Amino acid sequence: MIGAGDFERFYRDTLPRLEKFVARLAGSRAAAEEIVQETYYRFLRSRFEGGSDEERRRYLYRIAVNLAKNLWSRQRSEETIELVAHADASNSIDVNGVLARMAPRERALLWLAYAEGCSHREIAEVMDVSALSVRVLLSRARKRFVELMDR
Amino acid sequence: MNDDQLKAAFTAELQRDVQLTRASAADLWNRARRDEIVEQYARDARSRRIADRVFGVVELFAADVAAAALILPAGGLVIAVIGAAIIHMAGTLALMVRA
Repeated sequence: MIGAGDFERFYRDTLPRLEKFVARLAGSRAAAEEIVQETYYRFLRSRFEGGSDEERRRYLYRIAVNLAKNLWSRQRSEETIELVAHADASNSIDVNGVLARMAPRERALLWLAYAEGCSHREIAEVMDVSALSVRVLLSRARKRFVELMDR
Repeated sequence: MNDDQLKAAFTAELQRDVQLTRASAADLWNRARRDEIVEQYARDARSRRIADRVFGVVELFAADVAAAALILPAGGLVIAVIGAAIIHMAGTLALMVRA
């Protein structure tokens, strides 16, 4: 298992962004908190030997997506995100408002592509789909995002 | 809307904080370490139980063969050994499944 000191540094570096990602995937604050904690716990128990922090981070996101998928299978996909009820004045587009109206998988794809800046290969790894599918799914998600934004 | 505009919108979104209740890194690490130790202990105990049972069955089998050799003629001995082997093999497997 990764050492306590190493984990503390990794946790500190990755937690803020992981929270933001999971908050958009989960349907509620409680679910998001549970997924974030369970993600790190599973990461620790996995004995993942990935060398770089980047590999660890991608693995962490993959665990989070898998946990979120379990959640999605238990709830309706159109549940709104409680965390993001208000629009942010500093952003001319109400990204969260639009995301909340999208399917969870589309939210995850868009967030990874545009907020995290992941490549198609990285998204494929995190979402456990082929890189070719990512191109198609992302294009659909983008189209849907623009449609919802214009409404 | 092009990719750059989307990126800009999501980057702005990324600046917004979400306030979730956080566990401390030390708590998570300790919990994972504790569970790892408990599971390792359970695995070791299970291995020991299986080894003990297999050894006990082998001992019984040897005793059966020795007793059969003392009291049966050669043909009967072969049948007794095969019978004991089958019974003990089944018993060992059953014990391993239960362990």
